[in-house]
Amino acid sequence: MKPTSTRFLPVADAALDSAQLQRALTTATGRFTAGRLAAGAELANWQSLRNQGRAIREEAIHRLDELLLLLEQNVRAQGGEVFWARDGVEACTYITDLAHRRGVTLAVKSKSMTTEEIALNDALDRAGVTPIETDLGEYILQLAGDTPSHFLAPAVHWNRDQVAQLFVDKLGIPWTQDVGTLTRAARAALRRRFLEAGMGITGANFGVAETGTIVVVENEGNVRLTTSAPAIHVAVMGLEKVIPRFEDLEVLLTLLPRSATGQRMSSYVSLLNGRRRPGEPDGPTEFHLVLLDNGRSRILADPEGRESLYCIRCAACLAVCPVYRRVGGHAYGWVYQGPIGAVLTPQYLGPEAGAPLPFASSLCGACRDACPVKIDLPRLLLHQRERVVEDVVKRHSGFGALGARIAGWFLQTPARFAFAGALVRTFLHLTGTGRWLRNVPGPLRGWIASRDLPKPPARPLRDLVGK
Amino acid sequence: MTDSRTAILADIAAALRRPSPHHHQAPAPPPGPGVPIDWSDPVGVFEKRFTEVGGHWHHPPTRALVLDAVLTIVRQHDARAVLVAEDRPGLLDSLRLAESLRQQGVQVARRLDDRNRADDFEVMITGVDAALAETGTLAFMISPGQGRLATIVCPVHVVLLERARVVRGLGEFLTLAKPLLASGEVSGSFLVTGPSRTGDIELTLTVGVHGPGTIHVVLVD
Ligand code: SF4
Repeated sequence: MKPTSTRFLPVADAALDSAQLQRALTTATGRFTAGRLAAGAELANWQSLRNQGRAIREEAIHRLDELLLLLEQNVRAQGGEVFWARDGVEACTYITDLAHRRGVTLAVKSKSMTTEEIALNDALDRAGVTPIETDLGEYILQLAGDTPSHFLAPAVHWNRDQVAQLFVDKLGIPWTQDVGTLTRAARAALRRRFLEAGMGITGANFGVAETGTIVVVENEGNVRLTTSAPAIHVAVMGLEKVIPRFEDLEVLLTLLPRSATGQRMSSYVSLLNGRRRPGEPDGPTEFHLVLLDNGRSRILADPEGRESLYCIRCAACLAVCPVYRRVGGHAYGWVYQGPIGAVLTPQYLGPEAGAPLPFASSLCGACRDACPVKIDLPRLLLHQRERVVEDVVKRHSGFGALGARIAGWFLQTPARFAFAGALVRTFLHLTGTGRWLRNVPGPLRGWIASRDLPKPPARPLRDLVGK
Repeated sequence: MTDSRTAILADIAAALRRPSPHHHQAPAPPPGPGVPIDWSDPVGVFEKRFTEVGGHWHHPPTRALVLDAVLTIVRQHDARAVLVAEDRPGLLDSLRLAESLRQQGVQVARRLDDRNRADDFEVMITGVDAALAETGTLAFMISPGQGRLATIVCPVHVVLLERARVVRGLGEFLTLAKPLLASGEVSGSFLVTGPSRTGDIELTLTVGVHGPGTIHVVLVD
């Protein structure tokens, strides 16, 4: 997915002007949050579960290499292949090469932000393998050539009329507003694809080091079919998704569905240990686990920033964020949205490409309170702001040094300081009449555009209180 | 290939500022979630939570009436053809389920020999390995008699549940499943909670997307 995060402001502006989007966002985020609160409140030990969840993720990240080696060993022991990919190109090449070797021309996919991150669909297309998204939301977006705006409910910005028209155009069904009929049309169209596809590609919510089990959580059943029907199953897993013990799933599979959709348990949890065993009637004959780095080990190297790797992608922080709730997902311009997206995007793509995002936050802390693994998102956002500013300073070090020298000269004596004050006062009063600053030139204009600043009084405080 | 692996492992060790590890030792697992539930009647808890997620609950008063209950469900869905899993001969076969359905004029297959004919079957009938009361979840282990498709492919799923298979929750299920998965004896396991569902269009709950839209549990005493 091509990042457009630097265009945060214009995209956010457009989102604020769309009444339909505002309605959709209010309803969706309101429902997600209400569901999460009810599902958490039901458990007397919800808070201690969150602590345990955090401890598990923290442990996993601090034992990352050790656990990955163990996961690799256990997947191999059960006949699976493990491929370590430094970046998206390596991951995509491995998968397209595999498809070529096996003569695969059609692949079914379940929703996976990790594969969005490495633009796997484009790579498959280029390699002559047709990727078919099978999650209903992703399928809609793929048919329309659109991108996800929420990493759980990717088509949350679409309404039923738009889906209806899309299906009339692309699937040739009669126009209907009935969501059930639309869903069945997608089911019928995709059904064939599961049986025809030579490869099924999924992400992974967790990889259990101790048993070599890949865990995938979903509601529609498309993961089930993707990992049952095709002869090859490829799971693309970010390095950080590894967890130490099988028992850890008790905590994590309690936290994730309740935080994500407010369900006690998602409709389907697949615990997969590779290819079909002798005697088993179906299932893939080959299993490949792609362990994707793509910047994760670099994030790990920053002790201040690595906490973002604890994330279990529940999207609770999106739903409570006063910024996400108004601007929606597209403004964030890449795969991950909301507060966690505002941290991950500059981490993955660099401070310049992700620059505006860490500032798109009031630092209210609602995200931290909602996060099932207690990630301190406000702290991470501040840390990313620091990195962005450092980067800007580095790139404009000439300007910075000159500015500091000028400021230094004015600050050296009280007289110079008073003179500078008089200059600025006079200048600001030249910009027009009235109490508020309105017409200012240069970089100040952007700042004033969304804020009110009163003009300085004609006489400064220093004059009033006397020398 | 090995190059990337070595490079990534070196990057991680450098990031954590320590050498790459050589061995692994699993510490004791953390204590699991506790839920304020009345556990004197776990089957009752399961029934409640299973129906809360949209499942249909049937409890024939005697074992002899189980067959009638299943027949009623099959008729209710107007099913002409059903899949009866080969797993658990003890349960499904002792009920003479397949034969009885055939006698009633229902077409019965024990395996999905031709996947392209999957859509011919309206109902799949299976046993279940465990039922998790806390969440109303059914747990299926893959086995030679019951593969992956046998619990996902038809629009209607009928599950015969023996009372003794009801456990409290995830923790107990994980204890049951771990040895089978860790040893590689089976290739996987599935947790199923209610029907297949989506909210992808305007958050409107819709069931029966890719998996069954209707799920029945028949309790067998
Ligand atoms: S940061 Fe926390 S709340 Fe946000 S998606 Fe990740 S786990 Fe969920």
